Amino acid sequence: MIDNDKNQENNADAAANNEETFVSKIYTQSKNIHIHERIDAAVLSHAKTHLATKTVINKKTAPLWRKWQFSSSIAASVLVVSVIYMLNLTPINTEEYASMPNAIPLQETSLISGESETIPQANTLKSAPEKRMAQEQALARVSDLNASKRREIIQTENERRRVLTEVSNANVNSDEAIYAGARDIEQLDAIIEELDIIEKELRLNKVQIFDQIEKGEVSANSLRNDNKLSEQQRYLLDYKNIQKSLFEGLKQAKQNNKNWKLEEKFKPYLLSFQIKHLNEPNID
Amino acid sequence: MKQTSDESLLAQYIEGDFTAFESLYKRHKGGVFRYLSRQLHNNNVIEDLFQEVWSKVITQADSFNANAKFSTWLYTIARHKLIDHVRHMKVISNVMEETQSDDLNAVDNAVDDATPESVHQQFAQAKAIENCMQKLPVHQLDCFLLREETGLPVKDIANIVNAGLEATKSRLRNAYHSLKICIDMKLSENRAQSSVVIESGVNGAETK
Repeated sequence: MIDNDKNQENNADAAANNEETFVSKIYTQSKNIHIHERIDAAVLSHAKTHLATKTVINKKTAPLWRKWQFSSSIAASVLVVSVIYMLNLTPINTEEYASMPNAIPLQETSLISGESETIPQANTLKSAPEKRMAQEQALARVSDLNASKRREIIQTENERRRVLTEVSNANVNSDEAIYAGARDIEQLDAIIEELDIIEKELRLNKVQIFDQIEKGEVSANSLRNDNKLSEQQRYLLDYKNIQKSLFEGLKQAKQNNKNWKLEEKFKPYLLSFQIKHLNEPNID
Repeated sequence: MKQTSDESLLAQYIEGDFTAFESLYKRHKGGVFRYLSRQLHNNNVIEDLFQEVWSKVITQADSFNANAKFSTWLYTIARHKLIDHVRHMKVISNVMEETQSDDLNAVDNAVDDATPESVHQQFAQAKAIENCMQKLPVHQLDCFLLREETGLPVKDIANIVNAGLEATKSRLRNAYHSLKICIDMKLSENRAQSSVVIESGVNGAETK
């Protein structure tokens, strides 16, 4: 009886192996699939760029031996200066130097003579004109974002909201589904972050409209209806609406979803949106 | 000559050797592409996901656990990308019917150097397995493709698909069994059709 069972088991195994071999053979024959060269090129180029970027970053974060090298060069400089003073080899006097024949004008020689007044200071590098230029660039960036771009972002946002609504309504107990939503929110968050920076830059440039809205002097919608807004102001209002609805969507999804397994992932977003939202004007 | 292991190649890439990545990519690109393309039929989506998979490999290479198998890691990424995509499409549009591609150019390429008879046979077999794979339940197809493309043991496949060992074994067994039956059926249908065509051709010639 036992032998009979064993035989049957062995036969079943053999049949399964035969099936596997047969199917594998046919599958192997149909394996040849052509991957377009541009895909190969894109992947390999990404790999190369990533490697190059990593190398630059590694160089920036100087290893210990470099720091040591730097420290030792300072120590060597200090030693040389000490030796000069010990030997009473004082630097050349500027008046004496100026009276010398063939002397180069002093302003150009200040580095040689040891005077530090003309050496640019690090904190003066970000001068007012540079700031102004940055602001102008920011404005130019906003101007470049035309109506179609705005539509695109709003459309994207609508999709995100639909995802969130679906997730929250269905009370989905699935990490993958929530993760899909989270990933989209990350993308949108990146856009919003960028816009946030633009807004800050615009505020620096005294774009009055935000102050007026925040003080309640002007209603965002009435402005829109009156068609008094410039393109960039409309754009930023749209962004504010996006921000608000996204926050609401996240909050709603969190409330409705009892099995919010990826809550930790969302927390930073919720927090940052909450902070922004609290400071937001009441756009009706 | 012994082939450098996937894990060593990845380690070399992390150390800055780009050619190591090239070798790794060359070794696995076909498998990953097939794994995705057998489960999706929209070429643009397949290409996007394929690039996303490799992009993740590139950016996350540093976090790869040196004690793990590269292929397990790679196909886990691919599978997650696939699930992400499918879920995303389901959530957004509930139902999305992708048009099935009948493009069998790949099969044509595969049979360039064969005799007409074997070409016909291989073509029929390839077409049969293509059709039969589409009829497999998703879980079975997933396990089957992982098995065929990676050659990993069942235990590793179970890890990738996040299922028990016995469940994975069963999925594989059922997949091979169903495919065998389906392919046999398709091939016999094909033979029957061919003979009808030949017969009608002969009859037609006789009538003339």
